[in-house]
Amino acid sequence: MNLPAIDIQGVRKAFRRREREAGAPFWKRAAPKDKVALHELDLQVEAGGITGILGPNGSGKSTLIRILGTLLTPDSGTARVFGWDVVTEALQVRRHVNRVSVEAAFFKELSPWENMVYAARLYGYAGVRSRVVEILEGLGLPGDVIDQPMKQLSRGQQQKVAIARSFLTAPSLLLMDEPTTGLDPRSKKEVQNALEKLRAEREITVLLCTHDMDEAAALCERVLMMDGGRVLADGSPDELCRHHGGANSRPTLEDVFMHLTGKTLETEELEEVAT
Amino acid sequence: MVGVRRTEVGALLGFAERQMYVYKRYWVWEVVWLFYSIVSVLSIGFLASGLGTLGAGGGGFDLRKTQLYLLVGALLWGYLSLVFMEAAYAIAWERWEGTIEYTFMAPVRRMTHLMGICLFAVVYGLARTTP
Repeated sequence: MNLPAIDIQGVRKAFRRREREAGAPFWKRAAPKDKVALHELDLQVEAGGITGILGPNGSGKSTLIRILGTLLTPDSGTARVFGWDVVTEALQVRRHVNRVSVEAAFFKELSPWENMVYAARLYGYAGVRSRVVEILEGLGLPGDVIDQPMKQLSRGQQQKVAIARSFLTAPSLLLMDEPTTGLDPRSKKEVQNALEKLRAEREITVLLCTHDMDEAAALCERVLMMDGGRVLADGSPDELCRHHGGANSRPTLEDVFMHLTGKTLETEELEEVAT
Repeated sequence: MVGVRRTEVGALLGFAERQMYVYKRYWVWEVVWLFYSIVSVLSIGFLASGLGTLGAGGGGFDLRKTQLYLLVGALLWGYLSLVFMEAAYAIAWERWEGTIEYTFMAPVRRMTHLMGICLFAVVYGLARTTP
């Protein structure tokens, strides 16, 4: 029996904040409030393929990614990655997961090579230079950038190094949190091509959070539309367009997004629960 | 000319005010730095209390021996502060560079992370102190 790549049952996550009222002294905080990021979420993702998560800012996408990456602990419910619990078996989960986030997380003074060797050591791989060069060149990065400080690389190049780093550690589940946000069209296309290349090369499950509807339509077999910590719609891009496209005769994912998230605006105030 | 000066003075106050806001936001750290300063000052007092064993209180004061004693004490404290500082910066570095989540997602135990940082700190501290 094949285990699902992701199996989430009733996961809830809230963040407690003690916010200061306007004009209050800096040491005085108001009573704590819970901001609910995920409401009893159920989700299963089969191994292989790219699943897109779309939703406005604050819809719970990044919280979901962080829970799957063992960076956050759910308040209730269970989350499993290839059968391993993200709380009690975090080390096993981490061996099979990698993440590419909106900001390329690197030591910016170090070169791609030094950053890659560091990553290889953390994940128990040998940092072989020829392999690193091969991956970087495969992503269209010129060979001479490998020893330049990361800070001298463009954002697109940095993002490609981030993807190269995830290739190097050979994850079974790749969590991509807005990997193309803020990139120019060419860099965006190159990153998307890199993702498709990775899929073609090896069996990998990708969870892609994005605000780019065209990207989701082009890359994802399945799309979840989230808002306010809930999944509003789930299906292939075509199915979502058919069922939630609104009045438009040829709806796009953008129409679906506007249609679904527009409905929930009235209920946003319910998200904050005073405790 | 007066307008330019007024702008410069306004900017000067702006920098000072910004720093004040930042320090207010991280006021808990001030407690940590206060503790660190107290320990640093106490370490000098601790060295001074040992001077009695070298005859500083009596007539047979040996200047060279005292100098050596203070030198070794200062070096030792310098070494320890470097090691503690490097270990304490383990997380701060990661936060500044924005790599903390990536490091925490790696399949390694927190203890391994800390010991790795300490291993470097011990060697780095020796390299900085020995010459």
